[in-house]
Amino acid sequence: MPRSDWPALRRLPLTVAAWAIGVFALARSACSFWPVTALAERPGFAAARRYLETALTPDSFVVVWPPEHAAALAALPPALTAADAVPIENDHQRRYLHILVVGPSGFATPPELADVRAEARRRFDAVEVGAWRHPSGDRVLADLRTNLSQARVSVSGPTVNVACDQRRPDGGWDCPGQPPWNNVSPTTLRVDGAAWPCVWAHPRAQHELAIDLGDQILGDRVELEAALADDAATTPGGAPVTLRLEVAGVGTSPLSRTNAAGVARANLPTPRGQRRNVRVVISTGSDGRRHLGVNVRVVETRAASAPAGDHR
Amino acid sequence: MSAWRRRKGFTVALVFCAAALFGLASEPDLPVTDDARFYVPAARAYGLWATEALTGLFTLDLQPFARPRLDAAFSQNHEHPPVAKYVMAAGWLLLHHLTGLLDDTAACRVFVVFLWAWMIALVFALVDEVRGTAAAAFAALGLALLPRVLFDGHAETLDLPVAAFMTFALATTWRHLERPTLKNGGVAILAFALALGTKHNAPFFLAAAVLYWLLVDRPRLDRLRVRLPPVPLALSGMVVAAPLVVWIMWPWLWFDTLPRLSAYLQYHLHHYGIFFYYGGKLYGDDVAPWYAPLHLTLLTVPLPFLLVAALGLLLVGQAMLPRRERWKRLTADAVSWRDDAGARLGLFALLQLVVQLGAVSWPTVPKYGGVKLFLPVFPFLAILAGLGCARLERELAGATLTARVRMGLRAVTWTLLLLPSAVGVLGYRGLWLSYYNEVALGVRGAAGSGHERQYYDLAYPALAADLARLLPDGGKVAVLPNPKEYGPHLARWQDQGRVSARLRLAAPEAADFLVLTHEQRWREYPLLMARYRGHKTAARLSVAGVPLYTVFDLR
Repeated sequence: MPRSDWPALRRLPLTVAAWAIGVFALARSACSFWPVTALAERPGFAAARRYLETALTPDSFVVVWPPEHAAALAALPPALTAADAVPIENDHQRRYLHILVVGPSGFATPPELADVRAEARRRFDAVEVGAWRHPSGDRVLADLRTNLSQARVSVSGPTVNVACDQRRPDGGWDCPGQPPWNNVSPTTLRVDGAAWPCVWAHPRAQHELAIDLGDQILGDRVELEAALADDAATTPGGAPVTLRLEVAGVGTSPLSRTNAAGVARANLPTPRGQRRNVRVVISTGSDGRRHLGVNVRVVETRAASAPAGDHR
Repeated sequence: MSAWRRRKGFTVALVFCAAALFGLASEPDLPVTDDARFYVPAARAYGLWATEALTGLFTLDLQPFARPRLDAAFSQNHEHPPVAKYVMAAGWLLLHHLTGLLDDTAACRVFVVFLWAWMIALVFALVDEVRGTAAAAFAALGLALLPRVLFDGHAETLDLPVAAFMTFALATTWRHLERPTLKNGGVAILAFALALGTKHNAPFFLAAAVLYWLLVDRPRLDRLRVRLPPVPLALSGMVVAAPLVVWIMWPWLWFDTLPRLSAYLQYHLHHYGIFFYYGGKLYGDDVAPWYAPLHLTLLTVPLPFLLVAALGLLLVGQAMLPRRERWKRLTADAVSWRDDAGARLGLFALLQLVVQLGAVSWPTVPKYGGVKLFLPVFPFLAILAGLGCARLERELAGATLTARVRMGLRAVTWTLLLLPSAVGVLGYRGLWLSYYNEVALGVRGAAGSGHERQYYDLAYPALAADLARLLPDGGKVAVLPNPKEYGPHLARWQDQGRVSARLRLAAPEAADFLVLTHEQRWREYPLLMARYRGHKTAARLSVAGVPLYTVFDLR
């Protein structure tokens, strides 16, 4: 461009802005393709690896981060539970409470951990290890409402013996040939004035409604909850509902939901790790307006959070 | 026809041919999507029926029009209207069934590429009409170089066809609203019917068209009574005649019309949740935030093209501002939209864009699959980019420069604005669904920010090659986290002779190799990686260093 044309550029603000944007985009584009030094080849990786082995607890999960460093997984000891992604677990079912993230120094926090309590990062030359800890709490190993589609349901008694094996679109079960209310399905009842997510389990007079969760790996207890919907609990003369929680080879736990608002609860302690059948049987003397909801959970008790490690 | 119109027509045809050639040559062996198992058999069934029906019309054999035959053909994928599948059927009949030139999926894809090229030519023609050839060429080139749209432009799905037919509807409706004639009104109604007969996001076109009409031809308030201007033929026809045309085009609705129509509407009103990994969170039955579609648009369009489109948008806003003293500074160098067809076209495209994005952003609407659910947004964005480019051209034309310098500056500007798009197309070649722009820092940055690096359970040709190399005489392969889609993929590869006929899908416990796709929309992915990472890595496909799948040797 002749020298005399240069001043003209000042009168081309959009064109110059377009150039700047183009150059910026090309530079960013080049950065996004630029080969990175493999994490495993960075100074400090061996020390970080040793640290990860010592920092490990049974509820730890190691994440290699960011994703372009996934190849470093091959360089981690086989004993580590590790991946190139953060496990996304429901709070009440969380298995991994302690997430250790290894990456190049200064790596950005994985978005999955943005709301999790971070502990101090530990630097090993060009490699860094960060730790995040989820709040500890009991862990639900199995939940009737979540796994209802795998349950077996039946009604048995003097006049009706039927397997409720007709699938509903909501994951529940209908009992063929029986009244529509005689189903077992996910629902939300109003209990004590609040929404209560549960499984609809309207009992049938003089019959037993059995919900079989199948074989489950046990935790430390099985919880049973039962409640009548508020409008049903105020029915004058409403019959009590009797429930029985059965864990094969462990024992049974009875529970009665009288004609009152609120959630009735029962717990049955269980030996951890064993695989046993879990079922609940529900009956009543009179089924008028017995709008009953139940929850069954296999629960593992967890100790309070382990103290944070040494993060100098 | 005047010589000028003939020349314009020839240029548009040239753009179509160039785009089609580029589309076909850019990547002849693109990954197959999991939708192939729905749409390719449907295209086959509709194509065979159409052949029988046409033959029947000549031989007076009406058997193809009897209900059993119609139901047999059109029960295939009756959840969606048929037009896109007719287009694929044309490819299937010509290039697979009659000539055997291509396999069934590739044959269907060729005609989708033609639709993609046609969409580009339509954008070129529209922008050319209002802002000249240079701006039109920029809009067309920019659209052709949008990596994600380029993938969908090859995919055996409905998303690109509906985008193409909606661009056709936009072009014809806008021309009708500019200079209404019976002929162009009829064409606009037909164009809308084609879109309506392709996918259920087409009706939103009408909402934006009515909004545009009311803005351009404003109702008057007369003694507290709102007086509407006469409703244009095209708009009334879109309400009355277009559904009838769809009914004629869709034999599935010829019988049990109301129950089947109701089932169709119910299916889409209560669409099941599809897993979507966005911002480090998983969505399925609970829907991703409303802003996800807009955010993904901003992250998947090359930045310079996006900003030129934003300039186009600003210019439309500038042209819309009232010519009053208080706006004088902002409107000094702009013609009012009432005197500028280009601004009106921009406004129409902008309204269509906003309504399309708005519809999918509605809080209860499922969001998944990257940008595919709102693909019509991109040709509308290209129109705005054309307007933006025209403004840049005007700035250059207005400067006192020698012709040579002006040409040089134009070349530099275009290169800098379009080169990042070209880098995206080349750098992600064949893996365009993994493309993220410079703001996101590519797929690397996007994956690190918790966004999907792939979806559609793609059958990567590289995977077929890896399996052929690792198991030349057959064996057992497991695919996780989602093995369901790989049965049909494997069968297709075996039909094509890409992998051994003795290769079988198996559970990981019994498999020789495990293919683990790095898809975080499957909750179990991290645990699967943790379980199998100790095995030897036999193959891996990555883009910009980010792995898409890893093959583990389980032997």
